[in-house]
Amino acid sequence: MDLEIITPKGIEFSGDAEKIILPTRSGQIAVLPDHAPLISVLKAGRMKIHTAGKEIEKEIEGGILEVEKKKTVILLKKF
Amino acid sequence: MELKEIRLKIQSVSNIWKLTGALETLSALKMKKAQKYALASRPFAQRMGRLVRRMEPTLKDKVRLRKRKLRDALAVVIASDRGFCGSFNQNILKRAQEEIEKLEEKSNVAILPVGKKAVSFFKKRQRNFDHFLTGIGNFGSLEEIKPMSDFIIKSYIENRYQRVYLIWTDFISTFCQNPKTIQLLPLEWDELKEFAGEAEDAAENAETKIEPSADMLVKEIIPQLVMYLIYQCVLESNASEHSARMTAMRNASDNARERVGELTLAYNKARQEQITNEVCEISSAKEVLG
Repeated sequence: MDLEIITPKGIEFSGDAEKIILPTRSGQIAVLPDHAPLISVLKAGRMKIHTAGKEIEKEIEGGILEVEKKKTVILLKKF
Repeated sequence: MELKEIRLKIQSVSNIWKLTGALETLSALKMKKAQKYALASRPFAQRMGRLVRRMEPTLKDKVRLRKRKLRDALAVVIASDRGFCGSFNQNILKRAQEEIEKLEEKSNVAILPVGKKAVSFFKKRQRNFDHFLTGIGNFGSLEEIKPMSDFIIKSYIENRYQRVYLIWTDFISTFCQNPKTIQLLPLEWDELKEFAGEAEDAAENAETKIEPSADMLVKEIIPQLVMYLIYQCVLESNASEHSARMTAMRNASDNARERVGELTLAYNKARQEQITNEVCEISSAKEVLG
């Protein structure tokens, strides 16, 4: 799926991802391609992004997850 | 003109030239930085703004999105702390004045000026305001904006104001800046459309699920959304201010340079005239004596 990570400092990540694991207020969730549209509040914790070649793991402070039909956007305060 | 007089004038003009030249360099640096900040955070703010569209169907009856009977409105006017930036402040303040007069036909209008120039402008016009914000001219940080945005949200929830407008300067390019007005609260997609840019087809994401709950989302996201919208407007205004200052200083330097040229020409002419006069005097004196 098409993933974009945006912070107030700019677009930090833009590309294809296979799976994202995120800490939300209602627990950890995994977003796979063709996920239903969703808006969710992220809490502080570890975020994991699986792309074709590698895995990115990052500590986040909180933000917003937006899943759309064509695109997934993660809005973070800091990356 | 006397020689001495012209010399003094040349000196003072070249002093001005030096000053404006230095300011030009300085504001060029600041402009670059301010532009970088404003452009970098634009996608984030726009994306935040677009959230309003997706949330609108779900949140229609929540307090922050609900329309109440209009009695008092708040106009936040973002200008700059310092002058010397051409017509930047005049443009935004003139626009603000017009907007406020228009709003006053419908309701009472309170003002929240941002930047010293806005504060003194409204003071001069005997406008009362309880709050103001200064010192954010140089790439204001989020922490500096937060008290203001908290105040705006709080007074909106307490029903002190039923509408909040932002009057700011949109940064388009170094040579082009546009004063603009947006309705910040209540959040309405129609009002934010221009700011947030094209949104995806709403129908496609019609069945958006909201987690954990709509109430939580309102509590968590809306204050942030409002804050980031204000922040972006401040950054855009900053970038516009520094760009306007650089352009103004460049024009001033160019004018000063031209003026020095003209004055030097006048000086040389006057000097030549004097020499010619002296030669004339000497030769005529010699003739008389001879």
